[in-house]
Amino acid sequence: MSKSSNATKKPFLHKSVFKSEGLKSSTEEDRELVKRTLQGDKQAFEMILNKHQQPLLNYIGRMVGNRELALDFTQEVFIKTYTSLSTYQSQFKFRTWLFKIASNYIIDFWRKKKIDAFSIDQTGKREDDRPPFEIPSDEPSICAQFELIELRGKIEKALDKLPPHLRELFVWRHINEFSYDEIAEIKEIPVGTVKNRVFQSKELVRQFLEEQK
Amino acid sequence: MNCLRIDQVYLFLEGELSSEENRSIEDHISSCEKCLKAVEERKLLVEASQSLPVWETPQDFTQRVLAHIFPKRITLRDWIVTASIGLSSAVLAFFVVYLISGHNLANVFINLNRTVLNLFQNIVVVLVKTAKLISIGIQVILKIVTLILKGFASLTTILSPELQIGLIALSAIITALLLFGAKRKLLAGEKA
Repeated sequence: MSKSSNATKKPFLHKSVFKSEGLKSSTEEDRELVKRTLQGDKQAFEMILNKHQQPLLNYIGRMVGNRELALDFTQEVFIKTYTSLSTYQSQFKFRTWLFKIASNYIIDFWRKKKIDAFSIDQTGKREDDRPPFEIPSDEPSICAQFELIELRGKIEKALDKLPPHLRELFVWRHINEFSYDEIAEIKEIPVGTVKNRVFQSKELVRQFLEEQK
Repeated sequence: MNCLRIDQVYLFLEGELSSEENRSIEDHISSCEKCLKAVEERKLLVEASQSLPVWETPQDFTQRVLAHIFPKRITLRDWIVTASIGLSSAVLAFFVVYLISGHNLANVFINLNRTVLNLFQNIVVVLVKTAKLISIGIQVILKIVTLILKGFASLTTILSPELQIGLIALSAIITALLLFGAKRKLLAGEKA
C-alpha cells in the first residue's frame, strides 16, 4: 500500500481541537459575574479572577518573556479591568474585552520603554499581509525530525523571535485558543487579515525551527 | 482539485472548512504526496503549538489582586476588639506575675519608668550642652572672619590700586619664598 493511500485513514484535527464548544455558556457566565460584581458582589469578581488569570498570564508571559513581570502585569490588568468594569458593553465577550485591555497595557509598556512600539496596534493593512502562499515542491519536513517534547521547546524559542504583532496572534490562537472572530474583535481588524497573519506566524515559526536544526 | 495552498492546509487542520471542502481536500491528499507531506508537517506544528507548557499562577495570586482592589479598612469594631484584647492581656500579665513572684507588676513598671526617665534627662542635658558649645564656636569663627574681611575692605579704601597690586605681588613673593625655604629646610633635614 502506498504512503498516499494511508493518508486518508489518518485522523487530522477537527473543530473540537479548538474549544469553541461550551464557549457560549462561558460567555453568559462571564456576563452574569460582571453584573454581580457591579452590584457589589466581591465573590463574583473573585470568580472572574480565578477563571481568567491563567490564560491571561500565559498570553502576557509569552509577550514579555519574564515571569515576575508577567505576574505584575496580569495583576495590573485585573485592577484596570475592575476599575473600568462599568464601561464594559455586554454585547462583546468579556474575555475579548479583558484581552484587549491586556494588549493595550503591553503596547503602553513598550511605548514607555521606547521599544519599537510594537506594531501590534496597527489595525490597517500591513505589507506582510500578503495573500496565502503556495506549498513549495521541495519543502523539507522539519517538525517530523523532532520528538513532541523537543518540538514544543523549539517552538517556545521560535516564538521569542517572532515579531510581536504576529506572536500575539499566534499565542491567542494556539495557547489561548481564541477563534479567529474573537481575535478580530480584540484587534478590530478583518477576520481575513487575522487568518493571514496567524498562518504567516506559523510559517515563520517553521522557518525558525529549520534554523534551529 | 489543484494542489493546496498553505492557508487551506491550516483551515483544514483547524476544522474551519465545510464538510464538503474537507472531503475534497482528503480526496486530493490521498493522491498527492506533496500536499500530504505539507498537511502532516503542519499537523505536527499545530498539535505541538496547542500543547505548549502552561504558565501557572501562584496560589495566592487571587488574594493578592483582591487585596489591591479591596484594601481592608480598620473599622471601629476592629479598634474595640484590639483594645479589649490588649487590656485583657495586660490584666492577665499582672495577675500571672503576682501569682509567680508575689511582686506587684505595677511596682516593676514604676521603677522601670523612673530609670528610663533619668536616662532620658541625662542624655537631654548632654545634648543641649554640646549644641550650645557648637553654636558659640561658630559665632567666634564668624566674628574673626568678619573682622578680617572688614580689615581688607578698609585697606582697599585707603590704598591706591597700584599699591594694592604691589602689596599682593609682594605677599605672593613672600609666600613663595617661605614655601621655598620650608622645602629647602625639609630637604636639608632629610639629607642630614
